Amino acid sequence: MVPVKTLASAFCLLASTAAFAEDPLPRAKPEEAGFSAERLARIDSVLKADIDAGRIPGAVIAIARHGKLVKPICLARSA
Amino acid sequence: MSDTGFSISPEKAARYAKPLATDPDTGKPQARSPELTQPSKFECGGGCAASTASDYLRFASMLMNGGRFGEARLLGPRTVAYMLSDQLGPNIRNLVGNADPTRADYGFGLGLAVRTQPGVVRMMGSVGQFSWPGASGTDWWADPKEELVVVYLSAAPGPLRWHYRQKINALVYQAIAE
Repeated sequence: MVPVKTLASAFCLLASTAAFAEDPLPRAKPEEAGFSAERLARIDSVLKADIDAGRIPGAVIAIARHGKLVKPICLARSA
Repeated sequence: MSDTGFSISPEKAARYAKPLATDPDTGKPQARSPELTQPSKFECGGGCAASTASDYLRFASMLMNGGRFGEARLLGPRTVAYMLSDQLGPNIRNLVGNADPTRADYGFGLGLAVRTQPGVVRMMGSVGQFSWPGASGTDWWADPKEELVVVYLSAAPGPLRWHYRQKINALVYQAIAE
């Protein structure tokens, strides 16, 4: 079986750039928008584990609070 | 919303997400459906659009802001308030859960599920939270009380999509500290 790694591959960077080329909202740090950065990071680790396990091919997620873009994530499968 | 539409042009086709070749749970083959790089005979507003996280965040934010996005007034605030109100009267059998088990016991406005109670339903959120997920594995919701908008895009059309709707919901709300 080909090992699968989740990383910021060229595709992901490209997709990320395309998806967020023009931010839909101004950005804010998690704490500025009432989030725990540590807790928010769980989204990355959960999705990365699922991608590595071959559950989903990848994911893009955008979270906005109080009118600010808090967390854009782009994760892709990379063989 | 220049990256949203009912068809995908050839120059954007490489950005069009596709699911894993087989469903990891059932082992059945899966593919994009509908395949939006082909010309469509009917532009169905209920389930045949493609978009990006960035574009959809704009759209959902506009609804949450009562029809305004930035300087642009796109819908009247009274229209949006009516659209986001539960339209299921006491004599209507609530079958929202048949369409999406994760939205069972939500009310339904004009085009989307609307939360009418703090508990009972299977996901976290405030009364007034509204949403409607996509059959190909996408999801989004807005929670006006929290001033929160979330767009989650993954190409996972199998039963797995229900799992992720609840997972992302829990992961986002558990991260709110204040």
